[in-house]
Amino acid sequence: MSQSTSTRASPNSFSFFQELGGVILFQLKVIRTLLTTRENLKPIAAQIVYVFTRSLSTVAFAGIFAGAIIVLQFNLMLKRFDAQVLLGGLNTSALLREIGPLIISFLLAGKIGAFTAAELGTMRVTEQIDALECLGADPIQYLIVPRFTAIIFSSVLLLIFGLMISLGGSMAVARLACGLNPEQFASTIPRFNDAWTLASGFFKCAVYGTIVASVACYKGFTASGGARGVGRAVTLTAVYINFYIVIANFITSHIIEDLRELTEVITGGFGG
Amino acid sequence: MNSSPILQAKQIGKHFGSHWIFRNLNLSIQRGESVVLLGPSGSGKSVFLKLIAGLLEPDEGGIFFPTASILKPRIGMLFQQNALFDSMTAEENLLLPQKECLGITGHVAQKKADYFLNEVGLGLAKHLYPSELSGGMQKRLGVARALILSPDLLLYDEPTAGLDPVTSKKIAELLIRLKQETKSTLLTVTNEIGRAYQIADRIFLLAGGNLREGGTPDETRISPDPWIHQFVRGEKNGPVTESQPKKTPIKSPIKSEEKMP
Repeated sequence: MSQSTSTRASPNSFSFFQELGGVILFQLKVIRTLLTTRENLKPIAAQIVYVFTRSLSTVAFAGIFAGAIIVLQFNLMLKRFDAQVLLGGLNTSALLREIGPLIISFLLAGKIGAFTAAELGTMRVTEQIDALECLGADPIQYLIVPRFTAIIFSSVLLLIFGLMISLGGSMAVARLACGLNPEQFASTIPRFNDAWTLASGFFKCAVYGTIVASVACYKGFTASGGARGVGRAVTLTAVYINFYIVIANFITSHIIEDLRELTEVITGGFGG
Repeated sequence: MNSSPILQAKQIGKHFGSHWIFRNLNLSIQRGESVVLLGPSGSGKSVFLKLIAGLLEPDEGGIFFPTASILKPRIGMLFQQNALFDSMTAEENLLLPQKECLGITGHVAQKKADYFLNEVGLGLAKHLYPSELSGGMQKRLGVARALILSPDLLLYDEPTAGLDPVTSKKIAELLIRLKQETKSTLLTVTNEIGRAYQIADRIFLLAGGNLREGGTPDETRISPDPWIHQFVRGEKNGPVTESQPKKTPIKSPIKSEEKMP
């Protein structure tokens, strides 16, 4: 009895995998449309500007405080070991590897993801997407490709912007609260960060951006059931994005570390 | 009216879940004809239109366009809730289909959009958004958008639903006038008998999962078919009422465990 209970998938886990399958298939359809159609550049550029400018203030605000909090937390630990000089390096590493990509993607999920799902969901339930199809336009190309691509690109651009703001905030707090001047703060950054750290941040951001774009577009595009259905699509968009990002964080961290070790073995081997 | 059929629906069946909306529906529409599909709410009229428009796939049978040069004739559709692009002005609603479907932009597209906006009496409202238009104006804009691609077949889903009798009559007159001007073929879904008589060359009734032909408006008025007889007279008792599902508890499409607090 217990065996059958434990091996049987619950409806929730089933719907989770069903959703994941739906998102992946939808993603493939969007990528195929992106690669096989022309004249996507202008609407994509317009969407990038839109997503980037809409998220700029939120990312800047969150970036300053994220950097400040990390400085204060690290400072508490480093102070015990009289190693405050390492603050800049550790802070930047944490921001690049984890905090930056995670905060950017969570903010994108809350702001752009929810907005995209609501916008597409409303278009779906008011038959605007059906009307587009009827008029001979491909809704995937016309509506999804620009939004999907723009969210991914914007997440990487926002990481660069957010990181710079965050570093500024970190330096200011390090100066005011920890008595560390900007030169001291910056001096240890290269010790803790290399090209891999930078690549790791951008890679994670692109992966999380893809998750935000895919889930938001998919849930909005497949919404049904009137206003309530749109509300449900928006809620599930936020839930699934956060869930997938946490899982993706674990997987990407592993992949990046494994790749890093492999590269070191190979280059070390050649060197030796 | 040309005698060649523009559309042939053969043995069409559609179900949602385990419930068949209709089965074995057959309908042939001649080029230039105006066909009206009557039926009680929930009989599948809009589903049938969406099958013809290619927005849904039939589960049985097929829809054929015998005279179409490639695969399908150009179809224009007026949706029940208009489905206007609400982030675009009235004019942009007419420019988009031209750009996406015909690749026409600039002055030519603008001129055509202006022509159709004037045709439906919205020449002065071209810079307004759908939310700034009245129900009747939205309907007229929907008609203009359906016509902008000069379609071979026009599908109107409840073109006069929710409008006052005066506006409703004006919209029906507009549809007749534009049909004569553009020489297009119409398939209109409605449950307003008066408008059906006004628009139709032939009338059909979709009820109880079957399609019944009433013939011309005059023939429909005196049809001996008990289904058509009951529907056109609006009688309370009869086969149409009996075929409709009895009072059943309304089931939300959202599962109970997923309901919001």
